[in-house]
Amino acid sequence: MGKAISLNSQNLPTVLLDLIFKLKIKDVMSKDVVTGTKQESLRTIQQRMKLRGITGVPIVDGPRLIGIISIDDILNAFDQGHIDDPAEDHMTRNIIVLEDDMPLSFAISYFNKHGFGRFPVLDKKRCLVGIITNRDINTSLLIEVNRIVEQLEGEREHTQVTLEGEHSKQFPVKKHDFEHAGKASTEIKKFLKERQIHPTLIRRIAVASYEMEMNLVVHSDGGRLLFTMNGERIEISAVDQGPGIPDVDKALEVGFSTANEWIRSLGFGAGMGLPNIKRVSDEFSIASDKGTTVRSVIFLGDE
Amino acid sequence: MKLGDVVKLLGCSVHNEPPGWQEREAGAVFAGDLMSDVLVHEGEATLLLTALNSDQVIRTADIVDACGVILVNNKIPQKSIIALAAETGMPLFSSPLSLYRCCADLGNAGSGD
Repeated sequence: MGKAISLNSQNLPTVLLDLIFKLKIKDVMSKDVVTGTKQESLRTIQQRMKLRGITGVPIVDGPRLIGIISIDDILNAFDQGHIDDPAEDHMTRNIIVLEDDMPLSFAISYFNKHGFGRFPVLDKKRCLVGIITNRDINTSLLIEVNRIVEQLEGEREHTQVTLEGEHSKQFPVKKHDFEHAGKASTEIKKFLKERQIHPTLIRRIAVASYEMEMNLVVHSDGGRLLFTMNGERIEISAVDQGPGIPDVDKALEVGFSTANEWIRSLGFGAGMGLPNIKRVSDEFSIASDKGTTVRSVIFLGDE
Repeated sequence: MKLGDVVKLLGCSVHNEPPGWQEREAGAVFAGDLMSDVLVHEGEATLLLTALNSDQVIRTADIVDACGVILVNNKIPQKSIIALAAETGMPLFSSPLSLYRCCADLGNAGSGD
C-alpha cells in the first residue's frame, strides 16, 4: 500500500484542501464494482481478481454487502488448503464502509486510520454502489488539479498582457447565464466611452461584443470574452471550450440557427449573430474544432 | 418627435426617467421582439417598442444607443430590469396599447421609419 496522505498536515495546499471537502466519495469511487457471491469458491474469486487486476472483492447477496475477500484471504486459503471452500466460510464480515455522499476527506482519513487498501461504498439504502482505493483518490485529485491549473493558465495568458499603450480585459462567460449576459459588453462600451471614441465605432464594437457574448451564453459550454485595445486597433474574441460548430460555413449563413424555442423566446437565436459580427467588423475570423474562437477586429481610424 | 410627446401619445407609465429624457429626440422607431434584428438595425437614437420583457431588451437598447424603450401591451418590467435601465440611463416605459396601435399612432403623428 502507498504512503498515506496526511490530512492533518497544515502544509496541504488550499486548493487540495478545498477539493477534498468539495468532492464527494461518489465523484471519485469506481462504480463498476467486481463482486462475488457467498456460494462461489475462493478459487473462482481468485481467478476473477487475476483477470480484473484487483486485490479485493466484495461479497454480495443481491444489492447487500455481506463480506469482503482480500488477496490476504486468498493467500491464506492456498497456504491452509481451503481454496475450494465457498467464500462465506472465510470472508471478512466485519467490514468498514463509506457512504457515497460523504466528502472525499472522510475516505482519506479512513485510509490513514485503517490499514485497508479499499473501502466498499454504500448509498443511503445501504446498497453497494462503488469501491474506493487510494488509486481512485490520486487519479481524481490529479484530474481536478490539472483542470484548475489549465483554467489558471488560460486566465493568466490573457490578463498579464498590459504592454504600454495596450489595454486588455477578460470576462468569463457562463453557459445559459442570461442574467449576466451582456454585462461584459456594457463594460467594454463604458470603457470606450470614457476614452471618447466616436459613438458610431463604439456601437459597432459593442454590437460585435454583445453578439459574441450571447453566442457564448446560448451555444457554448462556457468560455471567455477577450477585449484588447492597442493603439487604433480593437480586437474582441470569444473563446469557448466546446461543443464546437460542426459546419462553420452553414453557421455563417443568415437565418441558420441551432437555437431552441426557449432561446428564441428571449429574442435571440434567429441565426443572425455571426453574420452581424462579420458585418460590423473590419476583420473577422472563426475557427471551430473542439472549441470555437470567434475574432473581430475594428480599427478606430475609420470615423 | 420628442420622447416626452411619444409617452403622452401612447399613454405610457414611466419606470425609469433619466434627466432630460422628455427632450430626447426619437430618430427612428423599431418595433419587434427579435433583439437580433435590433442589433442589425442601423437607425440612430432609435425608440424601441417591444412586447419582450427581459433584461436583454435593456442590454440591447443600450448597445445600439436607443433613445428609450416602451414595453407594449402594458407589460410591467421586473425590478431587475428597472435597475438595469437605471444603471444604463435608459428611459423605460409601459404602454397599455398593442404594438400595432403604438405603431399606427406614431405613424399618424408622423414619426418613425
